Amino acid sequence: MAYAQALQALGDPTRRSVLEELRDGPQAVGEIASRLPVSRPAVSQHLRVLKEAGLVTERQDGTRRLYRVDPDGLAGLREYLDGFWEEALASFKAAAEAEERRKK
Amino acid sequence: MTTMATTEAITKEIHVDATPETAFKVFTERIGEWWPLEQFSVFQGDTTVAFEGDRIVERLGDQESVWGTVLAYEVAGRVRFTWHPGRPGDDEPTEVEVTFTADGDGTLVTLVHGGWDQLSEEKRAGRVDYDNGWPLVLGRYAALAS
Repeated sequence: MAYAQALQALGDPTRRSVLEELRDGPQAVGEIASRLPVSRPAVSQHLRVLKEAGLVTERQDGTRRLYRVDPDGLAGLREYLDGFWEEALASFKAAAEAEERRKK
Repeated sequence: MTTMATTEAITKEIHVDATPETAFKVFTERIGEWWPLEQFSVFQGDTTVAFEGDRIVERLGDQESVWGTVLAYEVAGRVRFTWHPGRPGDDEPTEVEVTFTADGDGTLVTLVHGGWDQLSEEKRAGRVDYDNGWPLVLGRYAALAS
């Protein structure tokens, strides 16, 4: 599933910082690098991973290449979260019903 | 746009064939027995989770990670807690409320995980260290979506 790759991509703290820098709108590599204690090539590398994970898209704007957060990627993460609670509650239900049967 | 959808509270309902008393007790006092820790934990390995006083704490050996703080605790009625697994010092966490309502011979359990849109700009711009990916998803992903 896509979210697995997204989760893996988000496992790196610097990469999360790069993604968070894009929250306020599309930006170029240099702009992101100027606000983080990370080199430009490193930012490029992180963006590449984020793009492959479906969390970021890029487009050409004149001479600049702009990166932005991909809402579809975030929607996938939300689906993951939704599924997480479903699974946790199913496990809870089984435990609560076992306890109820034990009491009877 | 998906922005609205990603900041809405997540709501889950499930019917449990147990009394509200039992359901509440198992949810709170015995969370360590049913929480899917092998998939959803901050630490890797033989880890445990429990409500300890007003905190929800995961432990592995002498390591501990506070997942949240209890805000309301009404036996057989509801429990509400802040939710920030993987981010122990979070001062603007999301929140989870679980209510237990009699439903025939059993209980309707409703879980609402919200507060996504409450995160301030300052907070969203902050640098928070996560232990791994899933706590980020559980506690924070929507901060990226606005």
